[in-house]
Amino acid sequence: MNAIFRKELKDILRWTRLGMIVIGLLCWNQVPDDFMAFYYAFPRYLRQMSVIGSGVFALVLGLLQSMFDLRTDARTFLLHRPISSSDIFRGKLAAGFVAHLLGWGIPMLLVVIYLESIGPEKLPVTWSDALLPALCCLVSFLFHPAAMWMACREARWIGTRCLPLVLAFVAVSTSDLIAQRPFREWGILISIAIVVVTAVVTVAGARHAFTRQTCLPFGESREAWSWSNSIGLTTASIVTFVVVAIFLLGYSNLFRQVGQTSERRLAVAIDGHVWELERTRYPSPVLGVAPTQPSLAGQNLTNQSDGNNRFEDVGQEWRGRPLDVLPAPRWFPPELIERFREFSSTASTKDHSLSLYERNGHLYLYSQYTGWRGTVTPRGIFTPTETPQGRFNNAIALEHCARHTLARGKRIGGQRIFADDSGIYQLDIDE
Amino acid sequence: MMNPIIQTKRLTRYFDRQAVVRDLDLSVPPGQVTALLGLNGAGKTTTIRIIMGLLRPTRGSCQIFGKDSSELSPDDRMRIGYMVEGHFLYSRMSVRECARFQGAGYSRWNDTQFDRIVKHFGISQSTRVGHLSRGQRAGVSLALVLAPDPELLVLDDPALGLDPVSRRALNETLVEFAADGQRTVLLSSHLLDDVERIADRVMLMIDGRLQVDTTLDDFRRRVAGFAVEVDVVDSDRVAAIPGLIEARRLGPRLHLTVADADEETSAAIERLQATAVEPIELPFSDSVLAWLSRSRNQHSFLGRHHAGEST
Repeated sequence: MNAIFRKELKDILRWTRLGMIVIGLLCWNQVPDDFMAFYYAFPRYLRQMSVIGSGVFALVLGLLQSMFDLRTDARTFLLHRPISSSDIFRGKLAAGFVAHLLGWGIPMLLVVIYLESIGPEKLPVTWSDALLPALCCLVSFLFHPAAMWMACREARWIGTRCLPLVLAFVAVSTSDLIAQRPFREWGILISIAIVVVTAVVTVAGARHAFTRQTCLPFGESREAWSWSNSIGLTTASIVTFVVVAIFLLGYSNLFRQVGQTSERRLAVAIDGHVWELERTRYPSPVLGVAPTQPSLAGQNLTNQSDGNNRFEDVGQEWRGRPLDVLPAPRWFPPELIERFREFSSTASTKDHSLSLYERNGHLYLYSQYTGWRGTVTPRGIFTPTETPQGRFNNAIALEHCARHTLARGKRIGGQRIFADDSGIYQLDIDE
Repeated sequence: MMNPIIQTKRLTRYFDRQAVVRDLDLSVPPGQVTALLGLNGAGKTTTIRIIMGLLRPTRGSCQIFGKDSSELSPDDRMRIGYMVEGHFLYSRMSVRECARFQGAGYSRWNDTQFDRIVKHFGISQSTRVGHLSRGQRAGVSLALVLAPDPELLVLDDPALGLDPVSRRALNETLVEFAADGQRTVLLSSHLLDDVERIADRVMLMIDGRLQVDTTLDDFRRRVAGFAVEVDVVDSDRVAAIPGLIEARRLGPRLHLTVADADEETSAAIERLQATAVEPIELPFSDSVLAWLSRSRNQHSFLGRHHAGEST
């Protein structure tokens, strides 16, 4: 197997260089300039671009490693040797994995190291921000065995031949969901299970197609059957039909709200009390658009007798909505899941929009054209030349209730309100 | 009789709806050189690929070393040297890298043997395969299949692209390889003179079916030729000659190739009302060509002889 691995790796390394350049350009394109930093969500864009790049790269590698070997003479020469065809497949897969890893890993690492080296001047990015994109890129390698499966399987029509790619797409989409949604534990577990099962089925299906199907008479042999083939292709067919049905029936019709749903957020009222805001969505049979009808749940979360800035426990169920959260278990080292959180935009007293990113308890403030404006902590707003003092502890952004301000007499109604473990804050940015 | 090294029973393989190999019953005895002959598209390469376990039959069975060919283990493969049609090699590798790549996993890989054969073809080990001539590639392929010292050699058109000197060297190598009676060679070839020099057995495939499976001597003995002078050719009477393989008009004479000629054959020839009948000694290659031409009914491409003149 080592000889196959070395040979395959040597063959595809020249394509890896090309892939590195393309993925590198895609990643580099995500490095924000002063204008971009204003509304930038680096991990998300990096993930999207790198996953598209690495997915296509894996697909190309898989095709390169299988199409050439479908020639009768090449295939015969490759397969007649004193190792099993499964080992040959594994050698190819391992070489493809290493080439793929180099293809996306090196450019992504370079971009992240570059951003970390220049610090918050551009964005408060650290190496750990590449973890989620890297996770998705790793999963996108499934396009490699899927492409091998596609090339080696029997199919009369190019459309059905491509079905294994649907499985890889399902796995990558699910990993992308894991990366962008702060799921509850069961949601994470289900998603991880989907990725793992899809990966196992895809690799097993590709192995079966490579080792067996290319030798068998078309559609006539019982040996063509395998569990991976059956499960994989059936799942891929169902997913394809569902997606096509969604497009045919209309997205809005299919997802028309059939029942009443509600979501809860924290909000600050004009009197400084923090309320739990329940937003109820009612079904709309007319246009399929669900109107939002806010209503106060009536639960005052502040302890009124003790003052304004003391909070009651909102319970384990309540969750903030950070943009990117690595859904790691509690035992996972917290330093590996530093959060790069985007608190969307806020406005200065002059109505200039500013973007806020949270990192390590510091809120980094960026404005359009001028870039990094300063760092916000509970002790105030520090200019880029100053060393910030103090940190927020588990800061979350709160909803404005009726867009009123806490600071009477000043027009800072559009500015963000935050809460952390120590209290409630509103930005007062005069720009 | 010793157990055959390779044995197929009713071996059939379809590609789409076309049967490329049909009901093939062949057996390759050990310690002999067996030649598989046939026109292009006769099913030789498909048969060899099935024998090597790289293609499954649509029906029928194929055994090699007494095992189903589709179940060959790595250890079984180690006992077989297989030269692919067209001398396929990875063009980006050097000759030395080819040896290193191919030798991986073989317990009896003989570097000295490899070096000797490569040297015979005047090839530098550092040369990239892509820069080799076709004949040199054939030399490297031969070195690669002989270096593991296999018990069975399966060669798919090994002399393709070889110059006469290399062809002779290849023939001598194969004769030497099988000389001890312990090792077996199965080769497909279009070079009938070479086959005549080295083969112990011949198998003739026509349109996916095995038409002849016998020893070379038996084949020579059983196929006879007659030159017949006739004024008018009666196609029906020609077709009625028992054992007729081919009838071919060459100038004023009709050349007949007949298998297992006996008194009935002589009587049938006499009924052609020939002015002269002369037995002719058929070289092996002409006998084989007679078999092969029959399937295609092919004469000069210039079209001066009509198809009706051949049976």
